[in-house]
Amino acid sequence: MIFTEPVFLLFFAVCWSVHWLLGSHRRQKLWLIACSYFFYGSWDWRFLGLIVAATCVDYLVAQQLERHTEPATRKLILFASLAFNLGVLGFFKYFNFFVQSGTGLLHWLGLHVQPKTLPIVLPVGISFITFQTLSYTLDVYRRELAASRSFLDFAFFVSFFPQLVAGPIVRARDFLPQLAHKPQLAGVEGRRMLLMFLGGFLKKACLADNLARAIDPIFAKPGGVHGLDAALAALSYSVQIYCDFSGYSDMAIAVAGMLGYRLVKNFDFPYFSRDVQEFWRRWHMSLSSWLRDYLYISLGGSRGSRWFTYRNLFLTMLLGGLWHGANTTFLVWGALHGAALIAHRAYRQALAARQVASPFERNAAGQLLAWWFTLAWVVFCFTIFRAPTLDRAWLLLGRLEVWSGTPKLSPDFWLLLPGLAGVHFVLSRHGRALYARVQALPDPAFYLGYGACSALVPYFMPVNAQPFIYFQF
Amino acid sequence: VQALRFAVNLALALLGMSLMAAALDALGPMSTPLTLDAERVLRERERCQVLFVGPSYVVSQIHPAAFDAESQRLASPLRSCLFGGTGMRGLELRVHLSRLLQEGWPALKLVVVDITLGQGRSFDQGNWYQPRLIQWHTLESARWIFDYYRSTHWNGLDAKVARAHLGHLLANQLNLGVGLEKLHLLALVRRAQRALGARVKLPESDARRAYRSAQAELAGRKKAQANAYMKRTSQRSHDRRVAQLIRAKARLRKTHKTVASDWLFELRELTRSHRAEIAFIEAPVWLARRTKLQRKAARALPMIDFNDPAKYPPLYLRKHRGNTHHVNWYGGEVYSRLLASELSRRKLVR
Repeated sequence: MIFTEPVFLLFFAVCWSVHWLLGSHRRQKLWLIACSYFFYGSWDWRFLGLIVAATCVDYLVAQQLERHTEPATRKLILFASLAFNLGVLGFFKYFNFFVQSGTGLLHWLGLHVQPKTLPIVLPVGISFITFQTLSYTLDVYRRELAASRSFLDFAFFVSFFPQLVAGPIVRARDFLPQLAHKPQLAGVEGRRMLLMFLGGFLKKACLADNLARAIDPIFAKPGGVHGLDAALAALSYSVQIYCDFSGYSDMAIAVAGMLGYRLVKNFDFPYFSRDVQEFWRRWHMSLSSWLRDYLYISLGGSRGSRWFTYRNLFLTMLLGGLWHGANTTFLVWGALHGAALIAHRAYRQALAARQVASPFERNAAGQLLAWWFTLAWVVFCFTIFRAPTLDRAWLLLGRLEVWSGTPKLSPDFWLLLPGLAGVHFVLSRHGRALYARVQALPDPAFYLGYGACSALVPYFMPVNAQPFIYFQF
Repeated sequence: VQALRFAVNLALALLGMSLMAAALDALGPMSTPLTLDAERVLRERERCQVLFVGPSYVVSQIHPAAFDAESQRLASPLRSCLFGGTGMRGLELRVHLSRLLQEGWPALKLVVVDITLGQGRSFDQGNWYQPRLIQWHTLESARWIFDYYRSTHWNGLDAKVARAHLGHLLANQLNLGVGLEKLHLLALVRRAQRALGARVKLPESDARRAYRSAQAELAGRKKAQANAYMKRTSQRSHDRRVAQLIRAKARLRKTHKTVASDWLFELRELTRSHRAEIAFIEAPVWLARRTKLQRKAARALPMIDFNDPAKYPPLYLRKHRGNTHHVNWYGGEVYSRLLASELSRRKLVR
């Protein structure tokens, strides 16, 4: 069940109606937990056990962390939680990858062994669930958050279906306080949420899925493609992944909002960033802030020598890449971003040492150039991220210099991409004002228009819907 | 008050959605080989008197020119036309025939439907949400789909299949995926495409291109088959298959199961409502059916069974057969002439 399927809309209509009809807050929570389990079980009910186990383990661990004061004991308890959460993640997501990589390494060293891999099915959204529960345990360990006394509240936090399978990664300190008070229907920004859901739907179904249909064949068989097709495919993938993931995030925020809960923002026009650091502040914000708070800072952050900081930056991004999946392309993607962040940091430090301003910030041309460099870098990295193997990625990138023959991709792309960039730019500047104007329309105009626009979305959807890209992570 | 306001707003949204869906519906369906074939045959509707409808046994085996010439020779001149597509049968056939007839056929006297493939629903999971499958899930066909499953004692219908039928119906009502094609057909986009000079490869043109190439292939095959007979290796199996078919036909006359035939009566009602009679044919294929129509249908409905080597030996001569279930170009000529003479002999066209 994905947000763009009619069955989800039916499910949500029932879920939403019953939720607001229930009188007591406790019943509402129980109902939403049941809905969340149903939602997750619709993929594979066998993995419901994982959510239940993660809920029980982390609830108990947090209780114990709160009860004990001796650092050694608390560390031991924390280690138990980490072992469980990362063990589950490691087994389901990385077991076969490490076995195969290890075998490859031994083979390279001249030792021939038969790898023993397992036919493991990856539970949907396991990385998101793990990071979410880990953040809770770590916050309690650091005494930045009191352990939840209510098992019901904690189970609700872990399983809340809008963000369960693909984020945004919700922190317990942001979400648990919301469970203290019963949400009020009058407090729901209905129109804003409806617009956000429709906008997300449009981004995912009409833009991302149509782009995927056009560029998937190019990534599948990059040999022989025209340079322009290769360039457009690389650029289009960056647009696709943004529309896909930010579309999902918008829908998740809207669905949660309609139920009276607030989720954190996940994207902030990342393709207008003018350096890699800014990009990571605006792209998948819930993950990048998680990595910063729980990995980078845990590794020591910038509290050490310059090289120590660089090492932490690199390791954080490398593990961030690995979080996306067990594939060398993700590792290389993370490593490249780590290297870019180090380079950017070193450059800023060099400028600071000389007490000069960056030439990229002096005037509009410099800013434009900085934006262009950043975008080119991000697109280059996403090309590696998207390719099934590194070889294919190099093959596609190598085709960029082949300009003989005729491109196959439709010239519509040449019209579509600048058009999208234009709309994106206008929304980044005037989006709030536009939203406010639409929200202020009288009821008949708003709802008639909303219905009409809703009918337009399936009209431009491709017939075969694609799953969300981030579901695989 | 809040509930009332909610209900009114919901009704407004649904109204807006319906109005927009209706407006978009007027722009036409997504192109598939069948809609493109319908466009072609509709250009002939002013003069067409006999319309052949069915799967590839109609499209590639019946030659309208040969049929028309033979009917002229038999002193009952008729102009024929044909409509169909690979594997078209049952529910899909009904939907498209219904749509075609609604366009008005002033000269039409007879509709000849090939029922070799039976009533089948042609709804394999591997093809779900293909435009062709979405197209026959109309509000009108929802009742037919229900009747089909009821007549087969709900065989093959489980929750997943039922949900898929509902999904297809919804996709049809909301014109899922049609917009992109319509957008590409806009003059502005086409002009830009021409100006930029790139080769166009679009979902919409895929269907058109596939149809054009299928048409060209058909014409080419007819020409090629005029000089290419059945492979030598196939000849031995052909003789064996024909013998088997004759035996199977003989068995079928003695012991057989009957299948529900209400859908054939419904098809007759459909054509009669457009002032045309109907006839059913079975194509000269190698395999015999294991079932027969119910007696009332066999008696009441005009049925010509060409799937009978004993009765129509020319259709099973080696020189008239291709390498599949289909006859070759020469066989098609013979088949078309036989059709004309059978229709004339039975006085099906008045």
